[in-house]
Amino acid sequence: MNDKLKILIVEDDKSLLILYDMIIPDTVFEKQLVRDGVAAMEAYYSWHPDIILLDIFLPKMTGHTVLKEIREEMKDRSTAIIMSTSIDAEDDAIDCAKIGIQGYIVKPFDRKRLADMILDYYSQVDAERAEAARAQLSKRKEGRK
Amino acid sequence: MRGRLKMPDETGRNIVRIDADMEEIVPRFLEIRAEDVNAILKALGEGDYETIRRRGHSMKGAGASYGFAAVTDIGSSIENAAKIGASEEIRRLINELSAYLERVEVIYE
Repeated sequence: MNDKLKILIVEDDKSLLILYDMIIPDTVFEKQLVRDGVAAMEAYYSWHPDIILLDIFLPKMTGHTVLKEIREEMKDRSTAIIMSTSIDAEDDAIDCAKIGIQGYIVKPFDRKRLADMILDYYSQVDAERAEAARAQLSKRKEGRK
Repeated sequence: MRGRLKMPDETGRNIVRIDADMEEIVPRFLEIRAEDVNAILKALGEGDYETIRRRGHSMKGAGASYGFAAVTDIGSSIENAAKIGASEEIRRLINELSAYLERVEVIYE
């Protein structure tokens, strides 16, 4: 069984997708990266991620609409959803919190803390798997020292 | 926000210090920002302020995440200028971004 956490990363800026791909480690996460809300929904239905890192400001379908579809139409509460928002738009994330998210990150973000933050938020839906992933992440960090 | 924009040093360069593990992806980041310059100038010619706002917004989020706080500052200003259709201000900011990209020198450490 593949014990990696499946994370769907939804971000329209190419350079941020490249950065996410680099800093979210392959040893802990299996990743899919998409650039708009419609592609996010397609990946959600076909790939069943454990975690979605979801930008709010997206082309084709906003992150807010993606969130509503998953939480309200699909009645899915077990997929962890972490919104990403810009520093001057935290109110948007608070609106999303009313629908149901595990947390949010503010861009620009601290890239050294991102994977830990994702696991912190994921622990709300599955503490045991989050802990196992965290142990894996620590091992990787130790290995790099 | 604009106060964070560092002036070039005496040699005319903008020195940015970034962790060595970023070396592989930073050149692509700078290329994408150069693409922003062209895309925003084109959009300005077409009066397409939504595209300009979106590009500015992306620059704002990505810049300091990579270690380029100046790109975040310029992107934020572009986004705000696009919201009110301030074409002259956008042109000035694009000149500023262009000059910054030409002068920037990255030191990996």
